[in-house]
Amino acid sequence: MIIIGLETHVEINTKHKLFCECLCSKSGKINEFTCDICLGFPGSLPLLNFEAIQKGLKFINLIKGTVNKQLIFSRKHYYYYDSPKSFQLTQDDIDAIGHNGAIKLFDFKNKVFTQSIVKFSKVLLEENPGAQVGNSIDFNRAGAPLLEIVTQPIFHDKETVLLYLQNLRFLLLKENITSENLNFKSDVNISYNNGKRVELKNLGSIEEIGESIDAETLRQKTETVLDQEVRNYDSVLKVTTYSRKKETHDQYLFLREPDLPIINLTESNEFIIKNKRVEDSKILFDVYYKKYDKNLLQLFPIFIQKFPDINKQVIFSANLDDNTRFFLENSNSISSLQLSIIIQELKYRDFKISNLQKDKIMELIKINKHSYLFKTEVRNILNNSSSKENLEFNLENFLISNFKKELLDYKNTRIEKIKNFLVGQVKKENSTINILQIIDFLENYANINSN
Amino acid sequence: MRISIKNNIWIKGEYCTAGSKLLKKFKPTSNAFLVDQLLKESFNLKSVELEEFASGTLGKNTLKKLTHPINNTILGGSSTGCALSLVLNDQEQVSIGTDTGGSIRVPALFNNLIGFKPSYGIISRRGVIPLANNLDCVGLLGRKLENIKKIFSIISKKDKNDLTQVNFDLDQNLTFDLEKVLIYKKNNDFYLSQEEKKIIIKEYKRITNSLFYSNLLRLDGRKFNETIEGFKNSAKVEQLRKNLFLKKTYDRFSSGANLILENPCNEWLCLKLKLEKLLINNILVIFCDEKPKLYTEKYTEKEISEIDWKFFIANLLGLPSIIIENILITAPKYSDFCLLNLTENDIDLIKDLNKK
Repeated sequence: MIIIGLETHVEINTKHKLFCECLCSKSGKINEFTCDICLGFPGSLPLLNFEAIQKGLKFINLIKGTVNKQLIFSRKHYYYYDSPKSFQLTQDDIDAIGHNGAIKLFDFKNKVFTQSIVKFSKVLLEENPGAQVGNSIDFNRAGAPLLEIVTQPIFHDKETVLLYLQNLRFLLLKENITSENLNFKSDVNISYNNGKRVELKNLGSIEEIGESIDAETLRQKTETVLDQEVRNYDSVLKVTTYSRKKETHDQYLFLREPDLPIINLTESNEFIIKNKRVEDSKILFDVYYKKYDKNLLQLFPIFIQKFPDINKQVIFSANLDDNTRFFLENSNSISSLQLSIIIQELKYRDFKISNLQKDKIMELIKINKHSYLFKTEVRNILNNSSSKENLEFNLENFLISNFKKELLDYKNTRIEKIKNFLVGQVKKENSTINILQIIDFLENYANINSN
Repeated sequence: MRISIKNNIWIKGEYCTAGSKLLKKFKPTSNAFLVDQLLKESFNLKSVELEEFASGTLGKNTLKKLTHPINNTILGGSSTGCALSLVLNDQEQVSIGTDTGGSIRVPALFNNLIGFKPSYGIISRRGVIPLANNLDCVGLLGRKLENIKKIFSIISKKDKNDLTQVNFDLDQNLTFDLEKVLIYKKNNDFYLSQEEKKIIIKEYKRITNSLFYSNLLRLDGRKFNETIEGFKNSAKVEQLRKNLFLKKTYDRFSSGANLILENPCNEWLCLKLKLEKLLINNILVIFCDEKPKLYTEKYTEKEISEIDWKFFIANLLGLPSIIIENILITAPKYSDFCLLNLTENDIDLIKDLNKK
């Protein structure tokens, strides 16, 4: 069986480059649209193009992924002659602007949705390197924004891969995230019968991707792959050729870009994303320096003494909010492994977790399950942001005792204004409740009682 | 007033070499933000040589020999280089340079001058060739505090193109508060053990060397429209850097690669908390009695750690710090004007306090 995962690099159609104010233009003389920043002159400082970031968020909205709480860029060091700084400004896996999400594939021929669902693992923003033109480098392209879209390794056949790429390109064009004339390149990761993973780099057209998958599968059926490697596809000979050994994450020496502040993607992103209002609502980016809560900071030394074997990076990357604080303060019975799992699970959630959830997790800690089970159970608890029975009970009691008239009015008339009023009142009472769940409840209530 | 600019700060149309052969032909296309501010006030600026990449204390670079103006055997103690001689010869001179670990303040200490390093994020770093981006500060060296204060007010304006600059104004009327003074003495809470001093130095090295590596990696010897032949081979580029850097620069550069993946050690994180807690509202005063050494004499490791850690604290925590009459004063973050508004009376009172 073959397992395929895709990494697609899409040029975003913004007016300016990602870290400077040069135009992103395909026409123009060599090095016409360049400046100190995109040429990487020592002493230049990067800026940020919010248009590109908004388009990235828009895509995460489309696939219903989770938006990272903070926007962080890192330097990925590697030497290549088309890179003006000898590093690429990109995002480390853990800092990717979005995680998860999925799309259902549409069959363009038969005009129906298929059963296949493609799940994503991460979406990140990065800059383009320069381009080789003849015997010199054109830096007009350097610094143009790219969206890297990484799927989970879930494909088993060529046809689904090609259908996915068609869908992805259609989606990106339709939503005006990319344009017809911009690059749409994929790296294909293939492994045959649980062998080592081979990465096919820089495949431009969809036909080329199909052909290369065939060629590489054929090769892996006859040759055993000894090590993770990168290969190129020769479209004339229709074979893949060895390029280099695959670098490990550590070899890239990821380093947080010290010239860019950490940016808070504020306003409950969850709400905006779920209501597909990215375009209408202006996302407020407030630039700030990561300010540590002083009280929490005092906990750290105690903490390090208590858990000498815990990974420090996990602790220092923790969200310093009330959720994490609760577990830090009640850390008496927690093992260091459990704690790091909880911290990592809390990292991408910006809503306040309920007392019920806290109690459930504390109970789990006492039972002391196997680490994998512990992780999935914590995740399950956190994903049900409030347990359903509990919510209905609370909501029903609250609404009937306080807003009986409005509730009946809504049942009879279905006027949007009344619904919004009720949602607002519930939200006022209990801010942790998800708005969609309130709406669900109201609609259920109206349907059940009218039947 | 006359102003000199360290040659790692961009002046449009002039070579900005940072003392390196690899940047010998680098001519910035615009001014650094602070240079623009000074030109608006119609100051004449003179660019001066420095230690290669402002890294080190030997006064060496690969382009020009730097010597001490009065006694060329005395160690300047920092990367500031020739700016020192201008200040020593001229009452009205102010030298603008960078301070990553004491480059402005150490020569001020050894030559009885005033050296001021502001809080991190006050002066725009656009157009300043970085050594360690999150420790670098533009600092001022001079002989009169009022001159330094005037220039600081001009160059600390807001630059929308430096995203690491803070977006509020400093309180200019802040005065020095003697009640907050904490003098570094053996019986004080603040007193640091030898071990703790070593931790400060270790952390400073970790941050600076890793960023030094990352920043210098882009210097591969080409201008950007040259042909790619010769740059395809990374080993050749590495050899070029090895040949053109000073040995000590290359050593520092290559040691940085291993440090990037290292995390700050637990001991430092605890020590940082201790320092932050003490310096959140207190002004730290250290009386320095080090005498400069001759070039031929080498500092022992113990002596270096005795000098360096004092200066590194302000850089690692981003605090404002000043050397005046051989006293090192470090103030809480963003209270820069409490140091710039120091009067002679204040200094006398501090000295009295020390005698008690």
